[in-house]
Amino acid sequence: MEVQTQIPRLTLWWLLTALFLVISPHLLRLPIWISLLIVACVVWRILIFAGRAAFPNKPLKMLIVFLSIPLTIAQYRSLGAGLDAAVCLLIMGTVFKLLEMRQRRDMLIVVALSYVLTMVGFIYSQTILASLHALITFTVITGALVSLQRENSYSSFTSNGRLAIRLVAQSIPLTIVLFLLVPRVAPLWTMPVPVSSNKTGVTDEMSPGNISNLSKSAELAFRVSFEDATPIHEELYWRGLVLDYFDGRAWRRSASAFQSYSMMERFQRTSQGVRNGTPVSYDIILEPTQQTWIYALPLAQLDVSDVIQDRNYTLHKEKPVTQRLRYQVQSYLNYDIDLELASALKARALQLPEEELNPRSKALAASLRQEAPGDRDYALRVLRLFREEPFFYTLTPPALGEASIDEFLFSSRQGFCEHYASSFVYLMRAAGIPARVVVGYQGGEINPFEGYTMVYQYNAHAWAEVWLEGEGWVRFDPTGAVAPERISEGAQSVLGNQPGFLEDSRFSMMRFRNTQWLNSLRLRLDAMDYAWNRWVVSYDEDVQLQFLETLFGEKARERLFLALGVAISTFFIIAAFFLLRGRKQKQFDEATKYYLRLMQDLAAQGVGRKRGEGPIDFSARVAKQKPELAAAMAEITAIYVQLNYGAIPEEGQKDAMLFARLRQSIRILRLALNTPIKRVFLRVWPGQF
Amino acid sequence: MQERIQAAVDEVGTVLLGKERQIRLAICCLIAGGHLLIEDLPGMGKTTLAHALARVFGLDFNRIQFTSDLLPADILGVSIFDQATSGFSFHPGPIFSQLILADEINRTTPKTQSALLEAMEEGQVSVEGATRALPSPFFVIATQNPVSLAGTFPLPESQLDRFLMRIGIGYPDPKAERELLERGADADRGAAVQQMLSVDDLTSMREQAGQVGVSPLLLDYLQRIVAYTRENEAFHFGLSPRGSIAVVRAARTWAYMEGRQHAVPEDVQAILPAVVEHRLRASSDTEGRTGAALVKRLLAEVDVF
Repeated sequence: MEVQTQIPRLTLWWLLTALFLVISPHLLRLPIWISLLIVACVVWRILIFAGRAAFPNKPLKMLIVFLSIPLTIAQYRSLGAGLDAAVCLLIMGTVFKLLEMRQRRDMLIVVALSYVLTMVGFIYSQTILASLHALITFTVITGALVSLQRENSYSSFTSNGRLAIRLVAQSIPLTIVLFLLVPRVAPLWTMPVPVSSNKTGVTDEMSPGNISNLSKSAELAFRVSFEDATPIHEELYWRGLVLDYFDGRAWRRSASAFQSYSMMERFQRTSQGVRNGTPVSYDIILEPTQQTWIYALPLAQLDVSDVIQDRNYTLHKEKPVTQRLRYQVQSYLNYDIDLELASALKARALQLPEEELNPRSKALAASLRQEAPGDRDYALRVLRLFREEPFFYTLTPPALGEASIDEFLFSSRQGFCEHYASSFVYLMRAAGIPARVVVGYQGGEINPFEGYTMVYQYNAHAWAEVWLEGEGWVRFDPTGAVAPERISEGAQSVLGNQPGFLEDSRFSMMRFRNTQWLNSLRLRLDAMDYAWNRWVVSYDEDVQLQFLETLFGEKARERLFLALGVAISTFFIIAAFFLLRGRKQKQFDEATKYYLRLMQDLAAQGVGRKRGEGPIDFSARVAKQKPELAAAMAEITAIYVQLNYGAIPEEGQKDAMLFARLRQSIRILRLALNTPIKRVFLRVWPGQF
Repeated sequence: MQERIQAAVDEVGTVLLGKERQIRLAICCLIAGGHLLIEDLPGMGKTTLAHALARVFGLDFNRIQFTSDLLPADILGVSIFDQATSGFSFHPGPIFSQLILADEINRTTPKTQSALLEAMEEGQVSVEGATRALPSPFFVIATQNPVSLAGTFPLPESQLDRFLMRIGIGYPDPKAERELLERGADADRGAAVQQMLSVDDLTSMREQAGQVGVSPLLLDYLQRIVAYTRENEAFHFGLSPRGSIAVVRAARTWAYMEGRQHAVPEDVQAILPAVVEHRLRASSDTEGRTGAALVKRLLAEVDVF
């Protein structure tokens, strides 16, 4: 039977809309030539529908497919991301299928692929916007499915749309229940993670210019919600990493075996510092950083299994943070750490480059130290130097040469926080006082609607820690000496008018923060996104367990698993019962059973009986296609027809002679048709096979 | 007897070239005692076929050209005052004939159509209170043009149901057409057909066809077909019991014409398009043009076993 080959117009438009929605979020990420290819395929599809173009022929299709695979691989090899390439291939496959679809089956494939691609989108973005987009996309795909399944006469755009919306709406409550209750089983395979090539963030190296670069970005770094009142802005030093090795230009972590997670774990300090006063409790949702360290106020205490604190009191995770990470911290803002400094650490905190490039600074340090009675006085003296001499806090300092400290301190005198932190620590070390650079974020913007704090990339900061006898490590922020409002009010208030601030986030709403209503819109949107992240995206196994325990008490998970298992299997058994009840196995009479077995063998030989084909017609066709079987087939058919359609037999008994003959002939033919192994079965149990 | 039927088919085949299947179906319809509706474009040989059938069975034959102003009385007959007898005497209309060719049946008004269709169903007509029996056998071969429907009154389903079969004729194949062209115009080709069978033959054939065996397995198949038309949503409505009875009747006759003592699924399949196409309609169809596709579906999708 000729299947209807023309795709109904309505279905095609539904499909195209669905596909547009599915692919549009990927378009920006895909290489331009693939986007062009997609558009070309869609236009071609429309032309086919309009009758202005033909379907692509086989060689062309082969060519497109075999070209697109190596091109994709070549495109993505440099980025080293298997996931992006896979997604790209999936999208292309979908679009190619769209191009060549002729039948309902093909359309079903496109619909199924669209559903999969919608889910794939969540790998890249889990924001509330992405979820809304996915919901709309699901509705449209369902609409396409509806219009595909319906008879044309019942189909109209509005009726299909209404039905699709109803279907999706009905599925939402079930989705919520499943989301809340179904056990989260970690995948058995590692989930590939998309690599964003242009990821910004604090790195483990600080050289002049790389923190000021971050101030060009209005990307979110993390959000914090404090359990009680938010501490004052000056207290918000989000420690990230300690950099204690200076090579004359850049600060790094000193190369030591203790940088590996397993070593840190093994040598985890028993002493956790001296905690004074009451802690602040807060909850951080960290945006993916692709780095292993995480941020917190000092002195942090965490109870997360795969996060440990190293001897610099920074926090490290076993694996890089590739997804939003939510963790709860208690910080003792009033703390004493390392009241006794081990000699190895002390040596490390006094390290200076072997080659002396900054003699003037060294001389300055020596003279100032002599004037000051103690180490603390010396540090304050240096801060005063920054405050009283004409030093400037700027985003666009002049470039520095080899002798970066000397040049900064004596000639350029313009710098960003990294310059001040770097030269301050240098001056400390030059005077024989242990000191180190700390990088992280400082400050944050409080969202007035929800009361949480947003920390952006432009809040990135570097400061210093100085070890003082009897006091341990003490924080000094030389930037505060130059630009106190940076610390008390935040980066945006100081840098807002400087060229280069938020340069990379040209379209960020942050740029319009001076327009009242836009700013409040931005804050509201962020609050929504935060709530979404907090309540939906970060709903993982642990949170689920907590939730279940509040609902069902102890052993909630086990009980729930049992209940769910019972419920689901009951559902399937009932469904199976209702589905299978309708199609009871047809009872065939003996002759037909034998005849149908023969049909199976013939089908294996390539001459299958069609559904609506009568025995005589079939016999004629077999004779035509396989002349060698013609005689046997004719005989069998004649007997079979006589037996089953011939004179109406007496009640309950067929013509025994004829039946025996039929059985015999069928057996002979089947023995000739079958493979040796099956032949044995046929001989041994003639009635069963 | 089968040879004689074959001879009759061949005889009609001399005027309607290359259309053996349609001729066999038409003869099958007459043997089964059903009325025939021929639907095709003008000039395809509808009238020729009807005329030739009448000749080959030796039936007396009347042709009524249906027009929009034709009245029931024009086909049934009227009583006219006879001055000689001083009474009304009935003048039978053209319907009093063994075989009626109702040409362009959809051109006349429903009133006239129903007069004819009533006669078809009852085998008698009622004129002015008196019931008059129609001759036996009584066949109606109606024709209609499926296109250019302007000004026509398409037959409703209830009336289409009265026809045992509806067949189309279709374009001749090139070879037949060439032969036709070479032969030259022959105004009354139907008249050249020799009588091959008699009315008595027809009666006995009908009797014998009625004795053709129909096995339970075949009835199962038929019931599967009927159930499919009633359950599948593609069908606007299912096949009526009258329809399924018609299928069995036609299948029996077909088997008889094929020389079998029993009907096989192939017989059902052979007559199924002609017998049920005009009784089916797709859900999406408002004009009744989709029967053919539906029957194809039936043939392909209903399992024989």
